Amino acid sequence: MREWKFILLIGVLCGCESVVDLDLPGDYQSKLVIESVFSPDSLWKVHVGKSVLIGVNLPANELIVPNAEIVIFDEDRFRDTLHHISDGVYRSMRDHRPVSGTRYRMQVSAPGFTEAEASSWAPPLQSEFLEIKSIPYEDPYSEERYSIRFRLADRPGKNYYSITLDQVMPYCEPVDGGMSIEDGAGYWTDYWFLLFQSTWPSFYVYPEAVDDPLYPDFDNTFIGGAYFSDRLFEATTVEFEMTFESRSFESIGSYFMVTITALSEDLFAYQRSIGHYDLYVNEPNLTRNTPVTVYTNFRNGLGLFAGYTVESHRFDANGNEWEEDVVGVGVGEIGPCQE
Amino acid sequence: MRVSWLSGCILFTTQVGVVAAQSVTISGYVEDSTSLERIPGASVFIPALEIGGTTNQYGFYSITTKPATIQILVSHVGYEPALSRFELTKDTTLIVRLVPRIVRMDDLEVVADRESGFDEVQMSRHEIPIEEIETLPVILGEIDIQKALQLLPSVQSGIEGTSGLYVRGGRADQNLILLDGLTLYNPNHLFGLFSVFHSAAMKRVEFIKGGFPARYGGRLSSVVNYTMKEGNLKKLEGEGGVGLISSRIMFEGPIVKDRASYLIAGRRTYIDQLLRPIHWFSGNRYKPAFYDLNAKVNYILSPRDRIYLSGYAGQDRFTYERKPIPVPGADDHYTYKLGWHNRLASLRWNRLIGDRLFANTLIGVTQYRFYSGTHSLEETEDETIQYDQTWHSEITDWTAKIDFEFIPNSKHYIRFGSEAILHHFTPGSTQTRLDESGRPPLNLLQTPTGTLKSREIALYAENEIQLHRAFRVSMGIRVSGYDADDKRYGSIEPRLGGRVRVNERTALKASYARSKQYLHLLTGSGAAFPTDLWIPSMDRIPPQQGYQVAFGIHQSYRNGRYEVSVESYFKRMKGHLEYKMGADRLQSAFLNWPDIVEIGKGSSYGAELFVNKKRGRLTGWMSYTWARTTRQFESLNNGRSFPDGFDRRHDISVVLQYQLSGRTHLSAVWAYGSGYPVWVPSGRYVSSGEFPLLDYSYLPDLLDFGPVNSARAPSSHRLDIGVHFKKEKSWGERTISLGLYNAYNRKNPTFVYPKSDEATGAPLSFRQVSVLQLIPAVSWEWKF
Repeated sequence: MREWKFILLIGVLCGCESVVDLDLPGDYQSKLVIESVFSPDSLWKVHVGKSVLIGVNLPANELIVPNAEIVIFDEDRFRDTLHHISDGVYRSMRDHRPVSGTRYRMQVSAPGFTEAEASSWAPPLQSEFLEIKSIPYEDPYSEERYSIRFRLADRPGKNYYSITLDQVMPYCEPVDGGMSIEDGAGYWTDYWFLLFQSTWPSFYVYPEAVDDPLYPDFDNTFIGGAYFSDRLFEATTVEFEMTFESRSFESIGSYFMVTITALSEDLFAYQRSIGHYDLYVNEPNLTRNTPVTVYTNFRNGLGLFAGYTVESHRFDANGNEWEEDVVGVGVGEIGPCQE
Repeated sequence: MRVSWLSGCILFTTQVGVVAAQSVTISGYVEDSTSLERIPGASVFIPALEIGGTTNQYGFYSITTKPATIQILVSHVGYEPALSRFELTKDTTLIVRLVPRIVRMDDLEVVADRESGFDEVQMSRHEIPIEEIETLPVILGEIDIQKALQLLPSVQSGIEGTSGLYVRGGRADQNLILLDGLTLYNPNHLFGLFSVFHSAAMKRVEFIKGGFPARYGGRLSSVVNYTMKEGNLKKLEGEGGVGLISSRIMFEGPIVKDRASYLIAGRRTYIDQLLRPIHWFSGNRYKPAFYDLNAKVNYILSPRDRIYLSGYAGQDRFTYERKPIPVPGADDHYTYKLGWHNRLASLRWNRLIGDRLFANTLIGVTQYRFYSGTHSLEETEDETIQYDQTWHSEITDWTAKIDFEFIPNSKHYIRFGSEAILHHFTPGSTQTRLDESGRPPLNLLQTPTGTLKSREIALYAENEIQLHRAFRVSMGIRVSGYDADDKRYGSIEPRLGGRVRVNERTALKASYARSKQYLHLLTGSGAAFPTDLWIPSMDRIPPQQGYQVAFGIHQSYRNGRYEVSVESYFKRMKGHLEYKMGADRLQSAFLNWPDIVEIGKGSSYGAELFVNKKRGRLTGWMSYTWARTTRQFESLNNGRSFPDGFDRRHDISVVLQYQLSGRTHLSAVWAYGSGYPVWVPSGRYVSSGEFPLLDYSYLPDLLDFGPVNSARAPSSHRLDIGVHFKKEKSWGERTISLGLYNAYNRKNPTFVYPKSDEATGAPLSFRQVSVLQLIPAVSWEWKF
């Protein structure tokens, strides 16, 4: 929001902040707080908690609701009932898994609470990795630099996506504890995000910036991932290009993974509202002085029931696909670093 | 033609027509003798017959009576009254030229020009003379007409220090702001800190907040009718000023003496230059800037015809240039721009048809455009990447209207006319250009499915009738039709007003007005910002509509020296739009507004006290308002009604102007407002952290906001003071003005927000941010 710095500037020049007393409403009806994010082929999992009157500090175990009844419907047909496992977490006891493109509805009830209900889906996703190219780098001290291209077929309607780039890296445990990424044979391996660049004009670091005219400056460097909508390619197939520098590990080679996620409108709206909420609570100014409520699609409740679909494309520096079990990602246990 | 020279006035009379046995009409214009500028609101009265009226917006009057020898008294505050006695045997055209009253050093009787609201049928109407507004203390010394209107009863500014107008519980988009008869969509400069109206170019501002006459339509809450000066037909005059953040200049004079004149006025800020030191420190450039330009040409075709060509152009521009990122061998530029402009042009023809019918024909165009955009350029030896993105929203109106005023006799004042507006909306198109060396450029233009056009047409008729010596009513009806996007809406809007004179000092008034508004302003924040979108009514977005009932008692004391009025009102509105929770603002570029907005309703009621001292060394007014405004949306607050964001229970303004001597003028404003509603959290909850895509563990507890706007921010009050030192010079007059905004440095809440500090374990607290504290002002003005 750097464009509004002028307004902030006025505040800095002549403003001040002070604590004030406000009369707060005394009565509060506790609500169910339900969190369930699903993707195709995942088992249904839900966390149920409750909200409390502001100022009431309860330990975490008293904020969960262990006696809820959770029912899932698929296009109004009963699909599953979830059971409490522990700590407010409910799971499906059957091997029923969500399907991409199907809309599900969840009903949650518990004694002392108003029944809450929400619906969502995991949007279909069709993406394809096209190529990876090495980019000559004149700086002899730099790491390897690559450009990759992939293709995304957009469905009609408003769609939201995110993209991340990871590299398989070797991990070890230093003497003084913790975890370190170091090159060495036989180390435990796992993914670690890479910084990447893209000039695609609708990529943003934060979901709240996507398609908001108050954030007209698209980002071109991404740490951890980028969010975007189909605003510029509605219902068409589009090719993206990203460039990145990889870490060089002689011990394990260069293995990369691009993950593309199609987010449901609910999940995206939630993430967007969390971003706005964070700004409102921590950096309020004249343009965001009205309260931001965290998005919920639950009627009579709080939290989120939302789906997403993920496609991961694994490739090495030569463009060859690889499998996790062949490379051994996450296999075994982390060991000590070699001196 | 008979010419009479009388003390204090010049009368030009032309007796025409044949002797009328039953009645004769005396009509014409009242003008300023020094500039020939026509004077609206002047009193034209025949004391012996106790009949008369006031001149209309264009200085026209007409009185029909029986043939007799009459004495006619013409007066307007600020001018020497003119009294003439003559034999009225035929229909007569009488042009009255009033001589301005000269305030000498030893003549300290100050007469404020606030028109008497006591006797007129119209209620809830205010008119503050521009000269009086120019001496009010204001923020940074920038004279602001709209900020003076905020000191009237039932008018809220919204965020403190801005020029917003929230009238009788209405919203910012519900004010019909007219400049020389054309709608002005965004009256703000510098994000609302100042309004766009250059006081030196304005002749008059009329403000109506209830009992709307049928000639006005298309908005629910108020009419703010600005009229520009016409230009001096006699001699060249000018004025200008240098303030802390802007300078202004105005010239007017004859093109052809006594026949054609011009006015040109301009204003430009230099705040962008004042912010240069920030660039020296940070390397980033912030360049806020605005200008406005008013121009008018006035041509007298004949004694019965006059043509006006008027125009306004104003623009705001805010530019941010980022400090280049120091990358060896690369050049990096980033610029962000945001701006808006209003442009208006109108051609108006005033014609006197006979002696009792006055016609005003206007054609014009008004345009409002908002844009924001970025430009970035990265250049290395190998490649260049250039990226541009712009987002803009535009509304253009083509307007044609004709208004007639027919005064058949002293018991009727009939107005009728029609208006047609063609709206062109481009409510949010985006353009994206990406140019990378070695690749074909990407150029994406996204607009709604063509420019959306809508048509609005209205017919109206009003008749103000004297039913009895003490009882006068105004009956009006406005019929309008509208179509956009294959959807049609219509409206029949009755307007009624009545005044009963209980005695020489007391009048009771009542009014009823039904209105429909076909345009909406989609706003994403509590205050009106330029990024807000004007959108039309269409399928699934019905027009806003409402009605208002008002009652009042008006009293005049000490021969009009004091006026006191008490008014109460009740208002109901529906068709308000709000963005849905989580709505994507840019989606509004693609004409799916019905999917991203919610439609609600609201009501407002209140009581107002207005005490006005109009004459004497000390002039000014005091206003007090008690009000309550609520809103209701199906998906907000569980469908229950809640206080509007600008619902303020108590509001007091005290405005004092004191002529200390012929050279020194003091002014003070004290304003108090009880706290605005605040939407505060009533519950809290935590995210489980069980789901990777919901991992916002860096946030403390999430807040469950309770009933909407259920708490109140602290009250606001402030004292503004100003002193003006005037000195006559051989070339004219100069004035030095000094002022203090918020003189006792009260920390008023600009906004309030909740904050919890996990690091210290402190419980949730509420923080008040106070932006505008003690601000001094100085300006230097000249006039010749």
